Amino acid sequence: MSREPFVFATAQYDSGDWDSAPMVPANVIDAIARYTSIPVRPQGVTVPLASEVIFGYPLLFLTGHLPVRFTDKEAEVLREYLRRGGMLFVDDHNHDVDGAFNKTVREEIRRVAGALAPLPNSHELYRAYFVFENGPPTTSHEMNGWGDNLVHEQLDAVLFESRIAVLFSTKDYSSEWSYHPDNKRFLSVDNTKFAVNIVVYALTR
Amino acid sequence: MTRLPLGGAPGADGVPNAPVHTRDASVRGADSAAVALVAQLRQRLRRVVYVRAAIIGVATACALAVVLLLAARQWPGSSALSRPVVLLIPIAAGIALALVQSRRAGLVTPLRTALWIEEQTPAGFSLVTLVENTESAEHDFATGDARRLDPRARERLAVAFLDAVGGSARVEAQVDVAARALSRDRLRDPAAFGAIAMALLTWLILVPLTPAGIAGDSTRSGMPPDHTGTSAAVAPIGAWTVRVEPPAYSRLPMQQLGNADEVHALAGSRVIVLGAGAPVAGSVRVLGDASSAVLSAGGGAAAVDLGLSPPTSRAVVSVTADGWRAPLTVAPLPTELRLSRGGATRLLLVDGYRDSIPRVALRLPERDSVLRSATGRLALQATIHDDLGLASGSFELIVSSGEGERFTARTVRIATTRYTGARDVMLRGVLDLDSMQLGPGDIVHLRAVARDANPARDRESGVSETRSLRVARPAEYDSVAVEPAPPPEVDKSLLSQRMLLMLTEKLEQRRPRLARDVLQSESRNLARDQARLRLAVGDAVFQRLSGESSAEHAHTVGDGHDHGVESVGGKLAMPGGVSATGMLEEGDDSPVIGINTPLLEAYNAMWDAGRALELSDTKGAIPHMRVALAAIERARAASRLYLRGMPPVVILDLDKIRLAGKDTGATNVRSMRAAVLPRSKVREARLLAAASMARTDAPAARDSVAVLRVESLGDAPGFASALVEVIERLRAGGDATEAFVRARRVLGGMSRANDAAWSRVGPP
Amino acid sequence: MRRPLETVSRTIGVGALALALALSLRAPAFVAPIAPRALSAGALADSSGIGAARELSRLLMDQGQRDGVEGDNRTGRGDGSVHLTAHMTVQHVPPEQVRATLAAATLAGVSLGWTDSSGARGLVLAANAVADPQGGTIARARADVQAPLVMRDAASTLDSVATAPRGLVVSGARLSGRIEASVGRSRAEVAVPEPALMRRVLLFARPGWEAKFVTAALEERGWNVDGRLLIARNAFVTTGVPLVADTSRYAAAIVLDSGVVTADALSRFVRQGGGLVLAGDALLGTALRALQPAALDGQRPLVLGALLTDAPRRGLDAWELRPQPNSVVLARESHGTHSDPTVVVRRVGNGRVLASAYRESWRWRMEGPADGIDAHRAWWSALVSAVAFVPMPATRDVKRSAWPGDAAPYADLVARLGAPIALPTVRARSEISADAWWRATWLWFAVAAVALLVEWRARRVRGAP
Repeated sequence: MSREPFVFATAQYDSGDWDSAPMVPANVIDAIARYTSIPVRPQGVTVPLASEVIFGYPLLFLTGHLPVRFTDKEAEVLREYLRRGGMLFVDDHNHDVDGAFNKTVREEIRRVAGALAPLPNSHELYRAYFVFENGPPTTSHEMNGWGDNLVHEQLDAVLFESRIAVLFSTKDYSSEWSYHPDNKRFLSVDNTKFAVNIVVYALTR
Repeated sequence: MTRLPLGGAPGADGVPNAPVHTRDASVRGADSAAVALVAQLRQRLRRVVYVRAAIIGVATACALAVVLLLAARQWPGSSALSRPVVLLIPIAAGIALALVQSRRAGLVTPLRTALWIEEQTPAGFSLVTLVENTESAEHDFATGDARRLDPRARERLAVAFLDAVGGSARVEAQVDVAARALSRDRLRDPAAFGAIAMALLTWLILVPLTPAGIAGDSTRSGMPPDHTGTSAAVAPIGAWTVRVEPPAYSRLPMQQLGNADEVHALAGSRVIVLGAGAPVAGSVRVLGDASSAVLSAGGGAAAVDLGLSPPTSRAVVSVTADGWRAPLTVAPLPTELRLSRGGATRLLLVDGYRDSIPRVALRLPERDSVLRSATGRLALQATIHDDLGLASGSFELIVSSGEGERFTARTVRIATTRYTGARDVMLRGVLDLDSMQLGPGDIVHLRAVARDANPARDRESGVSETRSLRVARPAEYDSVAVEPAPPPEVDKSLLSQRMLLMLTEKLEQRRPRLARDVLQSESRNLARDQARLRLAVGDAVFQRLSGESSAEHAHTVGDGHDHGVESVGGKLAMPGGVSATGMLEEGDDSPVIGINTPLLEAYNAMWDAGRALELSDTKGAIPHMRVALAAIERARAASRLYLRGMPPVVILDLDKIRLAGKDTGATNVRSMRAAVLPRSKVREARLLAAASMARTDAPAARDSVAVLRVESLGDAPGFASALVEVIERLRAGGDATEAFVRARRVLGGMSRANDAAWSRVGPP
Repeated sequence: MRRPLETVSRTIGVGALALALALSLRAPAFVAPIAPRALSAGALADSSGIGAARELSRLLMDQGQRDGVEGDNRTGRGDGSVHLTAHMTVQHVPPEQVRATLAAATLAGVSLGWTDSSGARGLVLAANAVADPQGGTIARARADVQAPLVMRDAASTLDSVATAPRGLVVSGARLSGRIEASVGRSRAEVAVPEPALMRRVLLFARPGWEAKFVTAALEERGWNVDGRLLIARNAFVTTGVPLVADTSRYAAAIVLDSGVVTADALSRFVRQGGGLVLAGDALLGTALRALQPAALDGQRPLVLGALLTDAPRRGLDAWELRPQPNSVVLARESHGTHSDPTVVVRRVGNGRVLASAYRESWRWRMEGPADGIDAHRAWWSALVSAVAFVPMPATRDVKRSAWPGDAAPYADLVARLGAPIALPTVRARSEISADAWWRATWLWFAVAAVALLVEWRARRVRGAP
């Protein structure tokens, strides 16, 4: 039996509100335990993006509403993290393509890893565990007209040698998954299943 | 010698030439005139045959040459269509055909000539009979049959002929007209054929001399073929002159590099190679990035493909008044320009580099700040440097407002400044907070942005680090859970602590030269300052723990209140602590501990430092002061962790929820990762190939090594410099083995051991 | 005056004829059947072997003619075959073709003795393809003398060592042409082998960073990996097409977690010749204990911060290994005065089993130094290479396998011709005198002919009949 469980890590960056979705880690961890036998640590960790500590967490979650400006150290560490094989999952908590977070974080990602490009809905991410035939699942924030009032059909990504290095979502999973896991029992369909795919993809690909 | 019965020296063909010398005077006159007429005409007709043969020969040679040249261009690499073949085969064929044709001159006998004359001017075959007898006499001279014909009879025949044709002058005129017609008729078709063939040949020879022709000739493969399409031999390519014209925006001067083999040039520059003599053929190749070479996914061991090569494009070579000219626009990658002529090839390696984007450093404001009220003016200052020249600089502000799920942002640029090529500038500006109309909770993200003069549309701007200025909400100061950051007290003590540390270090340096009492006095002064700072930090700690400002309700050590802090021997201690890694984990520690632990550490270190200074032990105080300074910095960093307060802690019972989900995922196939061939492996193979080649073809090996060197400059400078020695040895014509060995060692890739206990390669 | 001249000439001529006759009758007595014929140095130097073959055939024909004249008395053989005893002095170890020619002659019945004056000593060189997708060769040389050993290929010198009491091994390099090792005047040479025929790798693991990055490292190195990671009940993520472990498909199996394997299948695979890598927690289970090359002695504490040093593996969690008696330690970690084994291998049946002590090697790639990615790839590829099943090429050269060949030329010469003998000086001298006498016979005939011609001419001048 492998000793080391999976640990969900949230990136703490110097600018902006990195902790805007405090319930997401617990909900993702809950989903992993609920649907898989992957060993997982019951609590996530927060790791500063400017520290090499992030190298110990090959999947990193980053979200926020406010403009994101990586410091030089953060950019340097993140660049090396991605080169070594880490995967960064970025979610726009504003759900707004014209929002400050979206525009600035895209710029920062381009500076660190290269330009984001649409990820085809046939990508293996959508079949990594659960099958999402139509690509990323739609969020209630999209349906309710929050943010830019758009339903985003695709996620964006930066691929390194055909693996996803940076996965970028404007679908606001930060809001969608930010509730207490106990409340899942009130949902007819668990909306955190896509998180399992992201974790399984990161753990196997 | 054959002698004619009619006398005179025989012609080459045995026909008596005029003037005819006879032994019998009675046969002079009409007889000799007729015979002379025949002889002259015969010569004329034979000339027509010879000229026709020559024209046919030349025309055939030209036509064959055209065919072979076209074939040579279609299959440029074919050895069967080499230059000697293209030259010699048409000439030989032309000569052969001309000789065959010229043999027809033998058919123009006197008798046929006479017949032809009678065909033009009928005379009852009197001339034919006369010539026939003459010919018979000629042919039967040895037997003496010529004497059988009576000279008088011949005279009569001649007279009859002249009478029939109306006299000698008339017949000559008629024959002349007919002969001209015949010549035109016989020569017209071959001449036309020859003219067409020669025109085609001339066109084929001349066309390659244009730039398009040369370029088209060199695009069939990566290695341009020698320019052998023409039949003319050309001199091998020799010295050239290289000129580098940097892009206009760079304001760099033009460079004349002479007969260079390698050029280091800014991307976007024009490198122009000028040479004398016949034009050259050329190709341009951007040298590949070896790291992109991959192993085929299913090929296994032998699937390493080292032959991957980036595409080759044609070099545009144009003809100038005194030679040729090959321009090249420099790409931001190593590029090879290969030019060939006369069987020789030269390389020009162009090491293109990008101009760097501007380096921007924000000097003011120095750090992030929290503003109680957004009023006043803030000085902004940034330093900008560019390698070539700046175009503009400005401060960019993103103002974000809102909370919860509603945020708005606006972008403002201020202090925009234009530059005309300056390389180092100080950008200054003033941020008028009043005009920004900032509200509580608004955050201003401020950075400096600069552009250089590079006109490329996708050119990146240089940016500085970002400072954030946050306007505090009034409620923040009423909340226990939300911490203000950074507290002004700590900022002050940070500076003072640093100053105190510097003063103590200076005192320690001066210590050997100071009197004991002076040292004690200065040291105690420092100790008092240190004590004041310590108390200030202690106030900050108590303020945080109580949530009250010290002004309203001053807390001190031992004041009887429960602060969660204990005083132990003058130092402060707090139950619990942060994790050993310094990393904050959710749910583990309270924000109060997270912030105050470093402050407590600073407080205690200051206490130790103060005690040492009281005892004039400056050397012993310095380590404690450093600890205190570092702790205060950590406190500053920690204070930003909880700007928005603590998230609620969720404790999951994994055993309870494990695999409790109703849905089950599917079995899926993971895609494979592509193999990554290290650059060093590719380079090793190329170095070995060059080393093997060095024994047989040193110039080619030198070119290979030179290309390898330019490609390695970026990421393997040590290997590139080791290759310099190889190139020099090969250029000098000496033995390069040792240089190859050194380069191979620099490249690495080999492991060496002195033990062979296991039959396989062990782990490195 | 003429008459005395005639007399003298006639006397000389007749005398010379008589002497030549006498010498020719005595000549065989100089070539005793036991006297060896000498092979010239030039014949031995001809690398094609043709020179040696010609000289041997000449000696054989020569011997045959003489045997024909003398019948069976002198050879002592009654079967009509020709018996030749030859000798050669070896200045340099002759090339392979020459050695083969000489060996063929010995097989044909020629007694070929040789004296060693080459100064060459025992030197052996071997080269094998490394079982690695990126190719490479492992070349080993060993010499029994205390002299500098140099190894090189067609491109340049590979390595040299002052003395090689335990041999010299150069591995991983891409070599060109032929590999050559030399010690003093000894020289051995082998061709660079063809790349090894590679098969797939089968991975047994649970999903986790270790499984992910081990798979990534091997795939990025060029290995084809099959594996099945259990995500939930009856739900897997598969890599490749994992099938039953068998050497027809797999070169090696890697076990990262002992809980996901069937010991019987793996044991059968190893005994077939397959390789097995047991890494980290795979050493914990009892199922594979019979195959393990090392037992666990507890946990070796990691050194904090060591991942960024020159010895990054000390920063990894690892087990303390106690090698089994029949195992070989491939890697150790030094701790001051002592060193602990970290990679241990042993043979089981036709296969090999490797135990690696390190538990979370992925941290080396993610948290190690900048070259950690390459080092991690190379490490895992080397672990697999050390035990991988490599099928023999179908075009194996069986003709050369009987003899050491150029890999050990001196040993090859001894193996083909037997040990060298002392120089037979007396016999060699008698050979030389016999040749001289034969030449003298023809000289005497010439003298006789000239003398008789002079005599006859003198008589003609004199007018005598």
